[in-house]
Amino acid sequence: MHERHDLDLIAAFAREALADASPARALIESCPECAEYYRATRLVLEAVRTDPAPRLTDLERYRLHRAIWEEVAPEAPAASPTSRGRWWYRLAGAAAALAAVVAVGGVLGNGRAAEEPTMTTAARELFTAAPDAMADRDETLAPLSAGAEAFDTTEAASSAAGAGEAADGAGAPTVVFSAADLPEVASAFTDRVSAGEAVIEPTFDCAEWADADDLLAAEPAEMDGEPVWLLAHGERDAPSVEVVDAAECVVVYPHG
Amino acid sequence: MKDLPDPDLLARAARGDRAAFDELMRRHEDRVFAICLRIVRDREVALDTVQDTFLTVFRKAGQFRGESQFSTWLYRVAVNTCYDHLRRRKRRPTEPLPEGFEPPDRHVDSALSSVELRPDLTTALASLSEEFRTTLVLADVEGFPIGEVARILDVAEGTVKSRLHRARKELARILGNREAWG
Repeated sequence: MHERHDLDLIAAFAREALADASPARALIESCPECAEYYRATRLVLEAVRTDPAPRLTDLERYRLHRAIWEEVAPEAPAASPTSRGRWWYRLAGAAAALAAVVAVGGVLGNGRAAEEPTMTTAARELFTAAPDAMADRDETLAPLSAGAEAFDTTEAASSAAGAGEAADGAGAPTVVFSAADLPEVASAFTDRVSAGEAVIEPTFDCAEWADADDLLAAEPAEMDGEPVWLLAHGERDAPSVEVVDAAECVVVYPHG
Repeated sequence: MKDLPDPDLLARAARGDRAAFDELMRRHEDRVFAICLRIVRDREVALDTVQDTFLTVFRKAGQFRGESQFSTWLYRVAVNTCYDHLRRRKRRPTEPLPEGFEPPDRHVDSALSSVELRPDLTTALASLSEEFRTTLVLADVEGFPIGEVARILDVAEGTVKSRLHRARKELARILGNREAWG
């Protein structure tokens, strides 16, 4: 092709990126080689346009993040007091507030919860509020309840420190519940997995599931004060959900 | 965190803020993966290159001076990482083309240029040289401007244009455009 041929102009015309296409059109009509280059560029761009962009799967994304942090953990400098730590303290405070609300409700309800194992309204709100906190850990938690809003999270952090340390191995819990709530927690988690809202927490490290190809979600939680993982695997529209003890990586739900 | 610009996230990551680096990865990992997969043509290898890319970025986060856009720097690291992987693979035999695929014969009947008989883009890209493939992936597939491609590849803009023009002609020929080149 001769140098006088304006290949940039032809390429821009092929991209339909010219405000005034008449010079390019004239060039193509008067120059067979330019016309050939135009058709070639159009063909390439059409092939590109119809070829779906490759994307990471959720599992690949999770493993990528996990691999990065496994690799850099020994060399990473100490984290600043912002982000994760502060986020955890806020959540610990909220969890402590929630525990107080549940405890009061239990007293007032005179054991009704044991007969009707349903999640409290506050617990349900915590379940839905927590993913937002996960998404942006520097933002204030969504309001949980009047009791939680009134709770001093700074003081709560120290009073809930035991639970915080217990949950550390499983990452910060997104939901705190009792064993009596298991069926409803599992059901709500199933809904979130099917809706594509549940995530694979990068710190999840129970190898049996982490290395499986059908892992859909792994979110930290706390059941009766013990760190657990809410796991989903299989098909997204009908996932198998399990609750796994975070310390031992053994299934605690469904039972036997 | 989501509102912070890339350089701020990188600065936080350099101080050990894991959430900041996770956010940075989330913003760019799909595009880095797409570029690497197009260049190295193997999903597992592409995943390795993405991991190596972000490890390099994390380790050198404190060295980023903001003289170029963060994305330019990131994609330059990614391309160089892909080249490193390809060089390591050099001793291995070239991947065979799909069964039944033959390069287009410019003298064959034009009916053979039907879309159904064309190899897909991935297969066609595999037939290009590394330099042509990378240039075309960045410019035509990922849509980076010529100047940005030049900065990512650390070559002159004229070099990018030259490679791009030749890559398009070659790719079009492979894709079956005999009408243009026959």
